[in-house]
Amino acid sequence: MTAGGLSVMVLSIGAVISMLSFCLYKVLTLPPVEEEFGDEDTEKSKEL
Amino acid sequence: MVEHGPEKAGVRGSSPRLTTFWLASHARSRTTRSLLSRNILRSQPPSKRFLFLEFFLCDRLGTVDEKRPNPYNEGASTIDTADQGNEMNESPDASPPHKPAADKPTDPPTGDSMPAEDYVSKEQWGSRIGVVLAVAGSAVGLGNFLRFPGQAAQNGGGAFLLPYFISLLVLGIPLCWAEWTMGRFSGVRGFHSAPGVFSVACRTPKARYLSVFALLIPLVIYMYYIVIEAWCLSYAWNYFTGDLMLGEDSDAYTAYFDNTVGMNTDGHVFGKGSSMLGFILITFAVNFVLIYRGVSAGIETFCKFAIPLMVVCALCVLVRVLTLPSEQVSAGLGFMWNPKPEALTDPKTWLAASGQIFFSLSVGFGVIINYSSYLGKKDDVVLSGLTACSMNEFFEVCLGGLITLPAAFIFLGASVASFGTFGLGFNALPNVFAQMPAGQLFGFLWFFMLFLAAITSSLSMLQPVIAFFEEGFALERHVSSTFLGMIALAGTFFVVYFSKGLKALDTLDFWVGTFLIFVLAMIQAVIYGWVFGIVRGEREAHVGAHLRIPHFVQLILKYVVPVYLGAIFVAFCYQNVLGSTDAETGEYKPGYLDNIMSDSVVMMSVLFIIGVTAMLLVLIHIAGNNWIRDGKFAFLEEHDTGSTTDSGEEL
Repeated sequence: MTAGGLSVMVLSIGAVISMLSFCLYKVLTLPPVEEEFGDEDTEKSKEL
Repeated sequence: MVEHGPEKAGVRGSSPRLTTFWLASHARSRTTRSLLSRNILRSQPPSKRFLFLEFFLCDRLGTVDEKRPNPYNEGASTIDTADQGNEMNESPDASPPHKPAADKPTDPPTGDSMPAEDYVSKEQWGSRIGVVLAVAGSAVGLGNFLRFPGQAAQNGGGAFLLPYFISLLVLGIPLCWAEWTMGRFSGVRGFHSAPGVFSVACRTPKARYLSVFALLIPLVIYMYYIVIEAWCLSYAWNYFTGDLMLGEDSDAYTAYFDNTVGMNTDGHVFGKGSSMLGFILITFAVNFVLIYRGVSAGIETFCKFAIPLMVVCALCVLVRVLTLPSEQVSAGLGFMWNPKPEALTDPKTWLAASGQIFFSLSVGFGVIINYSSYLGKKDDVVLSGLTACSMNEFFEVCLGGLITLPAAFIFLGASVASFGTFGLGFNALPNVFAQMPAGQLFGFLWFFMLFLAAITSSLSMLQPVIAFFEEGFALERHVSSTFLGMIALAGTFFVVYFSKGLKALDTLDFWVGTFLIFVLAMIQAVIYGWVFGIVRGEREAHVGAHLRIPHFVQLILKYVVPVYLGAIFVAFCYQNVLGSTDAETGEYKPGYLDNIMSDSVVMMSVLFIIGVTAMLLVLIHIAGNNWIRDGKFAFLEEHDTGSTTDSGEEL
C-alpha cells in the first residue's frame, strides 16, 4: 500500500466516521420532540 | 371561493394569518372553514378568541356592525409581528431563508391553510433514532458491500473517492433532504403514499399519475430482491451447517451458486432445486410478518435490532481480515485504495461515482418520501436525513471498502476486480472464507449480515405500496398486506421460474431498478425545484430543524441536480440501453433495447413491467377519485386560486 493510498483511506474513513459521530451525538442527545416543544398534539399523536 | 377580497371586508394591512382567517369565514367548504378558523383561533390568546369568533359568525351572517372593533385590524399590530416576511399558506413561524442557524429549533407551521394542524397520523415513528435507522436500513444493502468496492477498484482505486464524495455532497445529500422535506410536508397533511405526496407537493390531484414509478419501483424491485435475500439466507444457513465449506477449488463455488439459483435451467427451483423455494417462502413470511406489525412496531423495532447487529457482524469479519498476515493485508488494502490519478480525467470514473452514490442512498426509490411522511410536524428532517446518509456511507466506505475487495484480493489476486456484484459476493467470497482460518464462522457472520441488510431494504419496499392501498382504498392493514403479498408473490415466482442466465432478474433490475430510478429521481428533483419551490422547500425543511441547510444547497437542487441527473442519465443510456461497437475488435455489443426483441424472457419481463405499470395507473386513478370525492383534496382547491412564481412560492 502506498502513502497516497493510506492517506486517501485514512481521510475518507476519518471523514465518514467524524460525520456519523457528530450526527449520532446530536440525534441521541436531543430531548424527545414532545418534551422539546411541549405540544399536546404531539403527545396525543404518540399515544395513538 | 371568495366573494370579495379581505381589504374590502375591512382587513386592512392584513397579515397572512388574518387573511387566512378572513378566508376561513368565506371558504366554500364547511370542513375547510372549520379547519382554517380553528387554526387561527388556537393561535390567539384566550382573551381575543371570543372577538374573532364573534366577528367570524357575524361576517358569515352579513351582520357585521361597522362601529364594533374589528379584531382583524385591532390585532394586526401585535399578531403581525410574528408573521412579517412570510407568505400565506407557508409555515409562518419558520425562520426566513438566509437567517443564521438558531440554537432552538424552529416552531412548526401555524397559519397554513392546509390541514396540517388537525391531522394526526395513525402511524408515526416512535423515536428520532428509529426513523434514522429505518432509512439507513433501507439504503444499506448488498450494493454497499459488493458493488462499491468493485466500482472503486475498476475506476481509479483511491482516486474514485474524489468524484464519489463530490457526488455525495452535490447530488446525494441534497436529493435526500428534498425527499425528506416533501414527504413530511405531505404526511402532516394526511398523505403517506406517493400519489398523495405528489398531489400535495404539486398542489394538483393530477400530479398523482406522475407518482406511478414511486409505486412501481419498490414493488418490482421487491419481487426480485426477495430472491437475492433468500440466497443470502441460504448461504448463511449452509455456512452454519458446514455445507458450504467446499475447499479451495473456485469452480466448486461457481457450480454451487449456479445450482442454488438455477442458472442453467428455467424452473430449476420448482424441481431439483426446491430447497431454495423454502428459503424464499421463509424470507417472504418474515417480511410480511414485520410489515404487518406496522411502521413503528414492525419496521422501526426490527431496524433498531438489525442495524447494530449488522455492525457487530461486519466488525467481526473486519477484524478477521485485518489480522491476516500484515503484508497480505497491506497488499489487499493497496489494491482497493491506492489512487490512480489518471482515472480522474476519464468521464467513466465520474459517471460510475455518481451512479454509485445515487443507487446507494436509495434516492428516487419512492421509499424516503414514504418513510418521512410518518414524521410528526415538528420532527427534524435535516439532521435525520444527514444522519441516515452518514450511516449509509459508514457501511459503504468504512466496512465495504475495508472488507470485501481487500479480502478477496488477498486470496484470489487481482482478477477479483473484474467480478460483478454477484460474482464477488457469491463466488469469490465463499472461496475466501474457505481459505481463511475459522472461515465457516466468518462466512456465516458475513452472509447473515447481508441477509439483515437485505431484509431492512426489502421492508422499505413494501411500505410505500401498503400505504397506498391503505389510504387510497381505505383498506385495513391486514387486507392491504394480503393483497400486496399476492401481487408480490406472483412477480417473485416469475423471477424464480425464469432463472436461466438470471435474465428475468437482470431485465427487471435494469429497467426498473436502474433506468426508472433515474426517471423518478429527475421527476422528484424537478418537482422540488420548480413546482414545490425552493423557497417553500427551504422554509419547510427548517421547521423543527437542529441544523441549517446552507442556502446554496437549494440553488443546487433547483439548477444543478436536474442537469447533473440528466447528464448522467443520457450517458447511462448511451452506455447501456443502446448497442455499441467495440472500437478495437469491431464487434457489436447489443444493448438492453436490442435484447427485448431477441429474447422471449426479456420481452416477457418488459411486458410484465408494462402490465404492472398499467395496473398501478388504474389504481392511482381510482384512489385519486376516492380522495376527491371524500374532500381530501379540498385544501388544494384553495391553492388553485393563487398564482405562483416560477420557484413555486405563492404570491
